[in-house]
Amino acid sequence: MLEALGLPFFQRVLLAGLLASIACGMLGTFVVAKRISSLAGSLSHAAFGGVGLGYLVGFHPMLGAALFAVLAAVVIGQGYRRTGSGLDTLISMTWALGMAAGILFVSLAPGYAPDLMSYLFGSLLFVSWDYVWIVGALDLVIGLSVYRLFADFQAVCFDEEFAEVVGLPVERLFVVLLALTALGIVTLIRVVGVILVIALLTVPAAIGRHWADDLRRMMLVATVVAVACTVSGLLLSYGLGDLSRVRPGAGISMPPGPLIVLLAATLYGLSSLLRRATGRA
Amino acid sequence: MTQPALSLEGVWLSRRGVLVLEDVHLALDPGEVMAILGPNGSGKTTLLKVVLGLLAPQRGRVQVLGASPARARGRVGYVPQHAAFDRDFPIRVIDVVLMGRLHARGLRGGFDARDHAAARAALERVELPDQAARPIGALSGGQLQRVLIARALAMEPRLLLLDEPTASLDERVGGSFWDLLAELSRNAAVVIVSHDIGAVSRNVGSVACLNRRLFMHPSRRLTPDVLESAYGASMDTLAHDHAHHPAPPRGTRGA
Repeated sequence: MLEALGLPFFQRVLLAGLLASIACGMLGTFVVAKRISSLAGSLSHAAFGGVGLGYLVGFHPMLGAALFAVLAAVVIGQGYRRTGSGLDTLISMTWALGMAAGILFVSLAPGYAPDLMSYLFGSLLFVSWDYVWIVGALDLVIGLSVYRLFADFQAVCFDEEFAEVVGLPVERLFVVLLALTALGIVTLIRVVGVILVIALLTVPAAIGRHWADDLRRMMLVATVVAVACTVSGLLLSYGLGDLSRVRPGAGISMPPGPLIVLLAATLYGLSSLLRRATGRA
Repeated sequence: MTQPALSLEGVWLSRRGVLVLEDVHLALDPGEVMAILGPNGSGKTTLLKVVLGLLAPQRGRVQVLGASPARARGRVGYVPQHAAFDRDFPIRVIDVVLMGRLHARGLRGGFDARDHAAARAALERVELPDQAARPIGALSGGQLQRVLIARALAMEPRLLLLDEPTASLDERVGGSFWDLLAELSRNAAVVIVSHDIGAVSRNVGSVACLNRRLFMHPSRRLTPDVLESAYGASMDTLAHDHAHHPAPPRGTRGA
């Protein structure tokens, strides 16, 4: 399966997966540390509404996804500290509304939408160079923002009250962090799909938490783990399908998205065991 | 006349239909150390949050260092009673203390050598210089409280608010805490909130009692000894059966 590395199409796929994993490691760390994974989940499902609108109106579904995810980030980010106990409802509602809108839009769109499954579960094997460039640019935006605003984001995630006492614009910073997370999620939709995004965002960061006591190191571990899972998931998906060339009929068609998530979950289990064995737990 | 560090005039505040602060008047001079005593649930933390601008009163005027609470942000240090954060959050002691420098950063967004020096100095003042690199999850309750004090000190505040600061400090540190406070009051006004009469020592310039309403006790009339005899041993059932002096109008204090 390693000969795949020599194929230009596969190199493009790998590069896309690698770049998306970098955004995922940086933002997943904040999501896990602040314990807002259900919030992140609602952003990815809101994105699906945008995918549907794209089909209906006729612009690129990924553009619609970015629009809807960022809009949801702004709405939830502003409601985050004001709604109190209503926050949970707001998150669940955004989650379901995004899916409902997406399905309704698609059903209204003329003709059959053939690659809907690819938005739900990912379709990294069919990415274009355009996508690689977009993810690279988003990585740059996310990376620069996180570098520049690291202390601010850390303060807002760690202790909102004190962040406000020292005069940080807490709500604005939180909205910016959520909007960046929304963009990161949109890049991951191509890798693992709307439904599985939350796993690729949180599992590598959770593994990072096992081995790091501060956000910077956690980001480093999370990024390495995310890259490792994505690359090995892609290789495995290609390799399993490629078995048919060795022995006709032996090939299994397995999409990379679910494989990547399964690999990450397995790594999480191993990491937990190793942590206990080394006395860190 | 110098500008007061803090002044509250006729402040009323209700939360969820319950009246928490009733017609509160308070005046604090620069360099003054005031203790606010009151039983649990008497509105002490709420009062601090009004001063910090975290809660807005329904009526009344609040002036902090000559400005509105929101505009005074960054100049008012705060040590909360309960950590408002997750003890399991991946962050080191030094990064928590550096939060006290967030308002003082330059335009580039990062901390410079001055900020690090201020954070280190603050950790030394609370006797935790060797704990800088430890994750907060590994600290004891008393150590964590001292880290929160260090974080407020790193702000180099003009007004410092401490909510039950001695609650989880052990005796040894408790003693040096009052020395620290005396030193601080040279540059800043200090308000200490407590339900514990033992927390009030000779370092406190004035005492006020809060139980929805605030009663000022000018220091010369009410020494800790007087307080103790007035309240008896049990501060939890703070009964105001002794004569109270309403807050004096500005400018007449100590006359």
